[in-house]
Amino acid sequence: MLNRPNIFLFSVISFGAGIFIASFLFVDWVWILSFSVLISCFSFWSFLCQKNLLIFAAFVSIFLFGIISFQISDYYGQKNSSVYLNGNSIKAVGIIYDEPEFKESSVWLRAELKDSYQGRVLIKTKPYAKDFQYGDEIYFEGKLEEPENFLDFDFKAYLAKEGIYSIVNYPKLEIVKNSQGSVIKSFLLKIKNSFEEKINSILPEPESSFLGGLLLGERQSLNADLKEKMQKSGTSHLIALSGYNITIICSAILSLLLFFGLKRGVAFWLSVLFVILFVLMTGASASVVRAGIMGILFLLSQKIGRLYHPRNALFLAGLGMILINPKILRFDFAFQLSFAATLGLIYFHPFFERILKSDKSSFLNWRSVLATTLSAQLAVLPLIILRFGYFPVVSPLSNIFILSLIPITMLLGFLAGILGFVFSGLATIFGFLSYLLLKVEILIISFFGSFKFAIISLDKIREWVFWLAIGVVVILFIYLQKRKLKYLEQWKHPINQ
Amino acid sequence: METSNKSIIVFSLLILLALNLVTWFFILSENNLTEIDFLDVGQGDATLINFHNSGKIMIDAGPNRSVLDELGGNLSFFEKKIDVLILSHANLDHYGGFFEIIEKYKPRVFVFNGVNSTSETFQNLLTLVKNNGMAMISVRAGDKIKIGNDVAEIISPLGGVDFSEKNLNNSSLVLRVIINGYRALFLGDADGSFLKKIEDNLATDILKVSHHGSKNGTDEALLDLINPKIALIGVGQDNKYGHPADVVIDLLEGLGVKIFRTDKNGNISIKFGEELIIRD
Repeated sequence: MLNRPNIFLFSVISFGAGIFIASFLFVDWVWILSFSVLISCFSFWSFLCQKNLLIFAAFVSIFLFGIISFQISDYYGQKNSSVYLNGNSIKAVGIIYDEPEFKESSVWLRAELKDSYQGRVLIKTKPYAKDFQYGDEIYFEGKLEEPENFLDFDFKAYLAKEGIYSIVNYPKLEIVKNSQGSVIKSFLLKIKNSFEEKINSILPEPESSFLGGLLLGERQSLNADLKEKMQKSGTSHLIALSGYNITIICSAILSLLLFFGLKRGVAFWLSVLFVILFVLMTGASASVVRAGIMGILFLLSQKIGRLYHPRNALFLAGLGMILINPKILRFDFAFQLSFAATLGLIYFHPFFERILKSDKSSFLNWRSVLATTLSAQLAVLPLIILRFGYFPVVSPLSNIFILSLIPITMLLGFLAGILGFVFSGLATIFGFLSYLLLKVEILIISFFGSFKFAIISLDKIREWVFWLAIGVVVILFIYLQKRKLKYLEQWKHPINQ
Repeated sequence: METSNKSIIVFSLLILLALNLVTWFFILSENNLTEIDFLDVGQGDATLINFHNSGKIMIDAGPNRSVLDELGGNLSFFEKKIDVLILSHANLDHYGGFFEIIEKYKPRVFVFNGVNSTSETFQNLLTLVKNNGMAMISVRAGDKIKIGNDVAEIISPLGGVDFSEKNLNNSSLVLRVIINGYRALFLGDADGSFLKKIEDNLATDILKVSHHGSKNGTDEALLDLINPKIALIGVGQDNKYGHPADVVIDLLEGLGVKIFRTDKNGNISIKFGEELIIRD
C-alpha cells in the first residue's frame, strides 16, 4: 500500500492537515516542543522494536512541521506588516505592487510602504481618479485602519493572506514617480492591457468583458447581473481562469508553434515559457499558479517520456504553493475550488465516464461533457454549499450547452485580439464570429441563470447539507477505491481541466 | 496530401461563409429611421439619439459603466462610434457613464452648460475630455445644434447666470430636440418652479421628466405648459430617494400621458417614422 507515490501523497496530506489545524487555533510552542520530544522518543523506540511504525512517526512529525510553518509564517507576516501603524494618520510613500482593482464605486490600490514605514496597505480611492498603474510610486496622507469583516466574509483573513493588514480609505493621494516596479511585470501588464484594449475596441459590452474573462480571468467590468446569472447557472468557472482555460490556451500555443515548423524541443521550451509569462501576466493568483504548474509538469513528463501522474502533479503543485504561502490553504477560495475540482476529475471522472458511456458519440458531446462536469461539480459541492449556502441544480445542464462552444470562442477571440494589432479588417471578421458565439453563450447563461430553481437556497440547513455532501463524496471515494479501478490508466485527459 | 486539400477547401468555405454573415449583418443592421433610446442605467438618465445617416449623440450617461451594456445591446456590432456627448449638469448620476463611453466610443465633442463643479470626479471627467483631444463646448439658452435636417435647441439656462454647488440641478441644460417635426424635451434635473419661468413655448410630444420623477421637478402648472403625450422617467428599482414620486405619476396619468419608466419598462426605444414606433 505504501509505495513511493503514496508516501509522498500522505506526507503532503499530513503537512496540509498541520497547516489547516493551525489556521484555526494557535498551538502553544510549549505543546509543540513537548509533542516533538514525545515523537522523538516514539521514533527511537520503534526504530529499536517496531520498524514498521517508523513511517507513522514520520507522518506525525510532518504534521507538526505543518503547524510550525503556518505559525512562523503568520508571526513574520504580522511582524513585517503595517499592523503597528493601525489607528494612526500618516504621510507616507509607497509603491503600487499589483494592478489596480476597479470596483463599482472605488478603485483599490495595493501598495508596499517604503522609507520609514513598512508593510503592505490597501488604499481605496475614488474611481476615475488618476491613471494609477502597477509600479507607480505614490505619496498619501491618511489614516491606517484595521480591515473589517463583511457580513458573511472573512475580509481580514482574505487580505492577511496577501500580507495586507491595513486599509486606507480615500486618502489625499499623489503619483510621485512612474515605473518603480519590476520591468518584466510592467512589460507583461502592458501587453495584457493593450490586448484587452484591442478586444474592447472590437467587441461591444458585455461580450467584450466576457471574452476578456475567458482569456485573461475575471473582469471587474462584467456587469453584476450577468455575474449573478453565471453563479446561478454554475458557469462562473468559465471566467475564473481555471485550469480548463489554461489547458486550452497552452495546447493552442503548442500546436501553433508546431504548425510554424518549430522543432519539438524548441516548441516545448517556448510553451513552458509562455505558461510562466501567462501566469505572471494574469496576476499569478493561487488557482492560476496551480494550473500553470500542472501544465508545465504535464509538458515536462511528455518531454522526458515519464508517465504523467496527475494526482502527484496536483499534490506537488499544492505542496509548493502552501510552502510559499500556507494561508492559501484555508483562505483562498479559488485555490480550494480549483484543487477540489482537479481532485474530482482525477478520482470521479473514470466512474462517471463509465456509467455515462462517454466513449459513445453524442449530440454536443454531452456524455463526455456531463461526465467532466459532474466529477468536478461533485468534488466542489461541499465548498460551494459552505461558502454560498445554496445547492446548484441546473449547473450540469447549462455546462453541457455551453462548454463545447468555449474553446472555439476563445480561439476566435484570441485571433481577433492579436490581429487587431496588425490588420484591423481581419480582426473585425474574427471578432464578429466570436461575437456571435459569445452572444449565444450569454443567452444560454441568462436562460439557465433565470430559472427559479437554478439554485436551491439552503439557509438554516446549510451545515447539514454540507456534511451530507462531504459524506457522499467520501463514500463514493471509498467505494471507488474498493472497486480497485485502475483510474490512472483510464485517465484520458492528461492535463487537468 | 488529400486531407490537406480537404482542409483548405473547408477553411476557405468557412471564411466565405463568415464574410457573407458579416456583410448581411452589416446590411440588415443599417438603420433608416432616427431613433431615441432611453436607456435603463439604474438610478440615472442616459439617452442615445441615433440620427438617420447623421451621427449619434448621447445626452447624459447614467451613474456608471452599466451604460456600456445597454449601448452594446442597442447599437449593432459595427457601430463603434458616438459623435457628441451632451451633459445636462454636473451630477454623477448623469455623467458617471461618460468616462467609459469616451474610452470605448471615442466621441469628438463634449457639450455642457459651462458650470464647473468642485467635485474631484467631475474635474477628472474634464481632464479626460481634454486629454482625449475632444472639443469642449459650453452652451446656453439660444444656442442650437444642427444634426442633418434635425435640430437640438438649448432653452435654459440663460447665459451669464452662475450657479452654486447647491443649485446645480437648476443649471441643467434644457434641450428641445426636433426630429421629423416631433418635439422631445429634456429637462435634466431642474426644479418645476425654475422651469416655469422659462420664456419659451415648452409644448412637446415627448418629455424626459425632470429629476427622475421627483416631486420638486414636476407640478401641475408646468405640465399644463408642456402638455406631453409621452413621458420618460429614468429611475432605478427600489432607489433610496423614493423616485418617482406618486404625486408626479398621478398627475401624468390624470392628463392621459403614456408613462415609460426604466425601472419597469427597461430600455425604451422610440423610432421616428411616419408615426412614432415605441418599444420597451
